[in-house]
Amino acid sequence: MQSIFVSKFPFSKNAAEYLQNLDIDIRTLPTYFPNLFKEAFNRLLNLMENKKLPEKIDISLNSPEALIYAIMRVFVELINEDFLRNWFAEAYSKRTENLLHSESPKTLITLASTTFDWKIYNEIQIAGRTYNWKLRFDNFLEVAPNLMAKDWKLVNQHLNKGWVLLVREKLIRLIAEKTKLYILNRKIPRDEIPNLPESYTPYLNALQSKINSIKKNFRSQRIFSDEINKNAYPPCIQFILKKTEKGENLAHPERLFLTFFLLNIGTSIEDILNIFKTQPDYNEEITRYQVEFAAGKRGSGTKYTSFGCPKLISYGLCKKELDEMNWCITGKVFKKVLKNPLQYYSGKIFLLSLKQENKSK
Amino acid sequence: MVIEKSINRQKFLAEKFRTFYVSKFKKECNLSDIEYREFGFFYWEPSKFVRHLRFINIENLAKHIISKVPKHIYSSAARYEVPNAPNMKLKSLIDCELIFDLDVDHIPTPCKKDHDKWVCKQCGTTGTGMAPKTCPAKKCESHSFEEMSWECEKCMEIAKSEIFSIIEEFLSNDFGLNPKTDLFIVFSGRRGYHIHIENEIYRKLDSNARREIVDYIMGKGLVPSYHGFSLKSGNKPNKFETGWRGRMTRFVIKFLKESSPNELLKILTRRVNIINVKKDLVAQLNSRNPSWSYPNIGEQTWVNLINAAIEKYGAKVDQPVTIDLHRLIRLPGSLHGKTGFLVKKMSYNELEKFDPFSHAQVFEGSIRIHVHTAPQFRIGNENFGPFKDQKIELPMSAAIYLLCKGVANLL
Ligand code: SF4
Ligand SMILES: [Zn+2]
Ligand SMILES: [Zn+2]
Repeated sequence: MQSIFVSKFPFSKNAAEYLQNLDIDIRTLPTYFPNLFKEAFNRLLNLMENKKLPEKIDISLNSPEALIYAIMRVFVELINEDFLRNWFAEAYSKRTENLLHSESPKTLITLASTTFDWKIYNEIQIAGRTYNWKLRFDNFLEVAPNLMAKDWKLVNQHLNKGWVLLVREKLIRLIAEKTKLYILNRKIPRDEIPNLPESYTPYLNALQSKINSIKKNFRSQRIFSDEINKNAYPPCIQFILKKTEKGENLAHPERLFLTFFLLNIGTSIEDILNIFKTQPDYNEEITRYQVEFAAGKRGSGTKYTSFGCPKLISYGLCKKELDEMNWCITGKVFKKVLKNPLQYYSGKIFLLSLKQENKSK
Repeated sequence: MVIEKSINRQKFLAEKFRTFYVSKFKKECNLSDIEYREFGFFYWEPSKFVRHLRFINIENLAKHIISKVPKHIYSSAARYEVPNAPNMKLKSLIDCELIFDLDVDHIPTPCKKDHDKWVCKQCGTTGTGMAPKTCPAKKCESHSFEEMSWECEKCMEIAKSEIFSIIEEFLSNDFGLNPKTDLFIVFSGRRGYHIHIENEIYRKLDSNARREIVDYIMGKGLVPSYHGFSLKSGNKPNKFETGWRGRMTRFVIKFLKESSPNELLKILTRRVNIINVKKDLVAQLNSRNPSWSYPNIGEQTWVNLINAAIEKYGAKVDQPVTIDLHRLIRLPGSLHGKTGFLVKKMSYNELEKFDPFSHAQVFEGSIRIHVHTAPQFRIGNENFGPFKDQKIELPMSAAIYLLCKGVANLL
């Protein structure tokens, strides 16, 4: 049955069921629903421009939202580009969060329990302190570590008999984050996408060329002034940079760490800003302010040193298992205890420059 | 001559271990899903570590152990599609038990200064108790020490009560696990215990989730204000509450009661009278509705007090063991090569009565050996030592213990 719920949450299991019952062959979409098809196409173009969905989306009973979403997903699948997939998921996650603020508890429960298989209860009271919600800790942990903030750590929740007690705002934030992960994890297997008729081709081509121009743009703004430096990055930094290349949203500590690290090794503010351009919520003005602040150009004028390894370990940002040098695993760089990724960097620069020298000889 | 002695000792120990493995290994091992686990062995001769091994059942595993008689035997807490693949990616993880590893090595027990010693590997400085993080000798910044430790009864009791508190306080109360059905415990064969949680939900957790759980039981990263503590808060915690709210309060009470005036002075301001403060605060925090306020104690001082209490009483588990999905841990039913004690699997109900110095002893008979040096220790109901350069007839388990520790030789 079509319902407002389905239009509001077109990624949900309810929406998937609804579509299945309609029994529509996606090959016929351009012919039978040319308008929806164009709408989906335009939304993706827009998403690539400004990383946003339209402000006003029709969520009436007869809205075709579920179909539009389904078409967008097919496009995203066919184009198969990480950053597009991330922007897409992020945009629907934001939209979900905005909608949920004015939804009834029942809607929250339906979405969380049917689509995410979460165990969740409303209206509880514990020892004089009123929380309206409780959620199983394992469901909480599917999402909360991604948010990388102290108030999201399990140790800072009220946990009782396996239930995390929550207020509504926090629950909504968790559902929004889970929405993103849910969309990202539901790739349609390639062999389940049928051969599409020619009517798809011009749209796909247009999207593809847009993608190409965006990619060229990323590349032409040369992020790394020279290749040696890039190879010298410690695994924790490389990991975060890979995320930015894929357009994955960085958590706040990741941004800070990356910024401080790059500033410390002498990367220019412009180069750093370019790296953040793939972020789904990129805002030139705000980001510039933040990076300049970190560089000590604004605010108090103090320069911050890069995060140390212990701090990175506690945030789960240390990626020592990815290290090929064996420095991170052993915790030593040339017999010195590895305390800060900058040490890793200068050690590696040293090695690489030796190699360079040997080559030129 | 010295080398010869050590080879003889090794051969003897391996033979004794073999006898045990032939007769009792299969009964003691009790490992589920053998065919999906990775195994690792540390061999006596040549002394090397080999991992990425797979066995299709207990018979094959026992056969290998009996023919090679390794010094240490490990298996994965994880189950893999291809346990013998050479790297983690190819192994393809199915799931992994959640493990907590609690070892006296990481707990500053009061008796350690009496039975543990360390030597700096760089400059040779020595000391008693736990090794420091950095060598105290001038200009020596070494972080590596040779440590000599003993299995002490008091330490083992402390370890056991820590395990009880992790299971009851945290796993049962906060996480809602049933200790009787959801977990089992393994004595490590030396100075610690492992808790294994086999419950389906826990096996599926990724390593980020595990980090959050281990931080939770250690109290790592706890911010008091998220638990209602701030001077302005209208909803301050009390000791009767569940979760960290109540625990935080109880820890502070305990800390106030157990700390010396000097320790307390380091945290509280000099403007207060420690003796009075101690009494007043304990009385206040024991009430249903503590005000968490006291003249001359500001918010930051309170926070420092809370943090110090958590630091002292939070669980002292080895964090990486819990987080790492690919760890190998000691196989239940194997013998610890540095003690000859049995790595013993037990249920929660059996833990209370478990005595490592009796129930992890597996050898029979007796033998005369030359003991160089050993403090007093107990095996079964009998006390032995202290010894100093002595030839003496000992029950086999006691003799093997000293031989494994490297403080005795065969005659
Ligand atoms: S050990 Fe330090 S440098 Fe290496 S990955 Fe971890 S945080 Fe980065
Ligand atoms: Zn030293
Ligand atoms: Zn002791």
